Amino acid sequence: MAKKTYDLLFKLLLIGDSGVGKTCILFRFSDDAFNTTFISTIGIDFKIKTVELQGKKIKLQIWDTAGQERFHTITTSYYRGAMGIMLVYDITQPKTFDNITKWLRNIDEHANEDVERMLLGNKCDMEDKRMIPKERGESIAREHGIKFLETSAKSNVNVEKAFMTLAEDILRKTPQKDSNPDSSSVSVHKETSSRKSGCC
Amino acid sequence: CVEGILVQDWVRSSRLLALIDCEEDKALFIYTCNKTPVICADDITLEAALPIKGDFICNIESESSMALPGADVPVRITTNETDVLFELPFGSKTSHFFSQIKQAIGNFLQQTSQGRPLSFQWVERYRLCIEESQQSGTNDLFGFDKFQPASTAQPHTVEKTPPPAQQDPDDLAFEDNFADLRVSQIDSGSEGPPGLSPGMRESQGSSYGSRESFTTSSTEENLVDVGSGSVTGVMKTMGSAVRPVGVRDGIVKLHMSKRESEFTVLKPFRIFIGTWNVNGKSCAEDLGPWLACDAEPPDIYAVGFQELDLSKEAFLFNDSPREEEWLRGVYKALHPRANYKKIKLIRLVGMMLIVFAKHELASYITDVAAETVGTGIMGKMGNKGGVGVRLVFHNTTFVFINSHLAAHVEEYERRNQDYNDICSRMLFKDFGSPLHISQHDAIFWLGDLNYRISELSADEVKGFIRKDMLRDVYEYDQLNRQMRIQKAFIGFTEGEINFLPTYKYDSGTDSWDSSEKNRAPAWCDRILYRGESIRQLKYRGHMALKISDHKPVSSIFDVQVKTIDEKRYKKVYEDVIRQLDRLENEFLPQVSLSKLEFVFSNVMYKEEQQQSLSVTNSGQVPVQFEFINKLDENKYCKPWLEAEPSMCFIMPGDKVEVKFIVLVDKMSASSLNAGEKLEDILILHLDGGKDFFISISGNYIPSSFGASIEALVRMHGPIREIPIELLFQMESDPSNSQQVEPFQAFDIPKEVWMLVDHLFRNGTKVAHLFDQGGLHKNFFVDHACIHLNLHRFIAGSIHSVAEALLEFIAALREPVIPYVYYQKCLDCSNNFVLCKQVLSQIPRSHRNVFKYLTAFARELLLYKEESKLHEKTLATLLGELFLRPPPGKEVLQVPPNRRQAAIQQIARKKASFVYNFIVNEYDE
Repeated sequence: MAKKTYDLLFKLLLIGDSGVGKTCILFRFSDDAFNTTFISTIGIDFKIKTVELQGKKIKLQIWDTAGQERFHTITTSYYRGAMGIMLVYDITQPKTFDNITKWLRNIDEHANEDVERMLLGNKCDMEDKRMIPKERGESIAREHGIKFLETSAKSNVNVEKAFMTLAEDILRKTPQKDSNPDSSSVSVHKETSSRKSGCC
Repeated sequence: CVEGILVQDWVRSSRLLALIDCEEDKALFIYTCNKTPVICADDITLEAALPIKGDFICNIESESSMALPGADVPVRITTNETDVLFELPFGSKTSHFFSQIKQAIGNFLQQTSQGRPLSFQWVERYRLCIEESQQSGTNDLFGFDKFQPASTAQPHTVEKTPPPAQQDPDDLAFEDNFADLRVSQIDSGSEGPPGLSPGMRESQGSSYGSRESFTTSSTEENLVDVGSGSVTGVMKTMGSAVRPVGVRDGIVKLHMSKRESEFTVLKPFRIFIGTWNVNGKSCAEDLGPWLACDAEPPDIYAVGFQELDLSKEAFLFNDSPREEEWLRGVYKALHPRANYKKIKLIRLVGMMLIVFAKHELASYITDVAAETVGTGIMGKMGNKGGVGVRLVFHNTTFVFINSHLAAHVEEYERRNQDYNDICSRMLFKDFGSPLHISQHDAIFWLGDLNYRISELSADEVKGFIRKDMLRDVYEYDQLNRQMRIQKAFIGFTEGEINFLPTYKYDSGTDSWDSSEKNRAPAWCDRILYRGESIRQLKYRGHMALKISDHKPVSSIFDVQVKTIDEKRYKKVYEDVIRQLDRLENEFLPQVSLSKLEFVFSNVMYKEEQQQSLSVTNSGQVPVQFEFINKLDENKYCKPWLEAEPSMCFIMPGDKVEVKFIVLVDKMSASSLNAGEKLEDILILHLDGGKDFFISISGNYIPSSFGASIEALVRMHGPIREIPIELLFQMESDPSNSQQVEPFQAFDIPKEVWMLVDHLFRNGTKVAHLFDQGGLHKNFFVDHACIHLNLHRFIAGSIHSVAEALLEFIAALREPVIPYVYYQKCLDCSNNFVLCKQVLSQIPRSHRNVFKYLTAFARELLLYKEESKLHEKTLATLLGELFLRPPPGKEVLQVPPNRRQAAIQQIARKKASFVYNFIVNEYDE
């Protein structure tokens, strides 16, 4: 009669150009806080956060990577361990959006084949400085068959939702250990059909 | 041995477990690790020595965490003094270690059963040492007294080696000081070392081994299932950082129970407890007058029987048709105004306990378990003893014990003993650590406890009863007296007895025992309770039931049950999880670095430059850092760079200086001359934490050391004066240098000419010209001359000039005999004609250098007397210089036992190739 626990550990990776706000997104998610001073991440750092999804306790281990160009070769070597990758650009910096294709190619080359990907257009609170319309983000995401959200770590928009969505996508692919596989497969199916591409 | 980490209140610390073998008996030694990885004996301190004997229990803690593949296996080790929980890595090593311990326990039992009890005197000595060292304060990491809270601590074990170490007890010469002892043992060499050193060596080897073998030491990788074939430093980072959630379950539970009052509301529930010794009779009576005599239906029933079945079959096979019969009888007679569901039935021979709950409450009952304890014949059989059911109702834990204790008036001490036995042996498993009866909020103890009336005769008792003086009789009640002097049922309460003794009646009547024995009436059948929020409403006997020689007893209680407010529970739970996440993040290893970018300017050949980085442990836990390899690279940095130390352990608040040393030598000079930049990024990895990228950059001043012969012959001036792009171009494709170089090529590099010329003029008669290294300082002076201005006078001793020449030849980008001819030359080394043929094929400038240097050698040999040089010595020296194996083929593909011979053979061939040319004149 003892309740069984289904504890899982998901490793997520944040990638994207320098300065798009990867560290801030992580800080918002893990500590629910925001810091305006910009300190470039020189290396690989991580935080953990436990969430509950479909009654399962899931520990997210979120890796934050250096975005600077000179570290790209090194950071790609960290892709292998990731189960989900959050690719971030800055809606006020067209260059960071243009590089999305390059980052996606990097994922194809270096990450696990079945890695879950998600695209985030960060800093959506800065509407007056917006350079990349939301539609462009949506369209490139659709093109590559991945989900898309516009986020703001500063105003706490969609940050939690983004991580939960990515975690759910990974959970759906994780082999279920339930004693009753029928019920779980039904619920999985339901969710898949009711899900739409996210938006801001 | 097992290397482990004990986590206490979120501070992880390593433990090393070693199974020490002393002839026949074994003991588990637990060491604290002052450093990871453990490298030398000073890195560990013995913390506890636990002999593996009768009280030693080693169990896998929880079934649920085993369900997660790759999760660490919690193992609890219990002795009379100690109770610790370790977290062992999932895998075959752990199971092997586990089986070794099991084997040791089995061995102990076997030994004692053969009447050869083991003394463990050798272990006692170690234990004395521990006490001494702790009293003297040498062990300041964690005192032994802190090393026990298994309920709160979450130890974590990382690595282990399986085989137990052998030990010779005769060698155990103990000094007064434990520290001395440790050192002397470790130092005493490999042949029969006493004490713990063999075990230690085992563990060192393996701790290195498993650092390399990523898949076995990393739990998470199993979850991720990357299926990576190659092990790289970076992968280690991703793999080893965070423990799975399962480890935290215990801590979450603890925090939740601490804050229970924040999310629970007390609500009263009615509990009916009934007990009846039915004297082996079948259920031929309506039980309604006993079980349903109250107006309100109870929420939970716990009904116990004794002597349910007195048949041999029940005793021997614990198999009884009466079980079903009485269950139906009880079920029928439960209160008619509610529907009940059977929660649990447990029976041991004649003792049966059934728990029912109202249908609608059944879903709030969880974690149900039942156990039996026999205390009858031989202290084990089930004719006497107890059965118990425990459960969690809402958030309150309940346990019901139905017992039948030893009979006969004078045996009250035996009854006390039975009670104690049931208390200590009744353990409910499957809930993490086994639960004792006392670990429940509400405890109900019912049954035929068999305590009688002392000192009064049967007639006296009956007399009192007739006069309705129950209270006076109760003064002589054994249970009453034993409880008062705290010999049994300590902490339990019994309500006031207002009913007639329930024993012994003539079956089928309400009249006292009329047999010859004429037993005195007694309150054999009792109900006791223990718990804070229990209120007894009724306590009574039921005279209406007559089939047995006992009368049934029942009691009604109101229990304040902690019910969970789901909303508040969720809030508290989330809060606890958030706090733990925060703590876990805070307790990740942290360091601050003084600098992340290092620039080395004007690096010159063989001139060392150093810069230092201070690494401060700014976190709250000990940190181990290490420079790790980048993907697909086999060293953590470029060949011209070195970090010292490249791996280190820092305590919180402490600081370590790391030196970066840049030194370009003949191995790295040629690629730098060819345009490779002096640039590298090092990954500083914190064990279990983040990585830093440290950028190293700088510029290299090209040197004729490490240049190619082709380029050198085309440089008329010093190398520094050649435009850098041109130099890179010449060096990146030396064979095409004619097209880019404007000058007419020299026959040989002027540097070679200059050095040889100097030696020729000044050194032909100097003894041991090449055997003696010049002074280092002079060597550098020579360098500078060669780099900067060839026409300057070469300073320094003749020996350092000779050394510079050798260094110069050795550093040549491609050796005098180009790589492609290497094998050919070795193959034909014993035939001068063939040698000459090969030589005629090599590029002209190379051939010139070869001819020039062999001619110089012949010249030197003319002055053999003075120079003390010998043809063979010289040939060997030059052979090594002229013939270098092509890059990537330096390591010979031969078995290790033949390697030495193969190396010598090749050296001989090289020497004899050159020998041909220094004993014979050679011209094209």
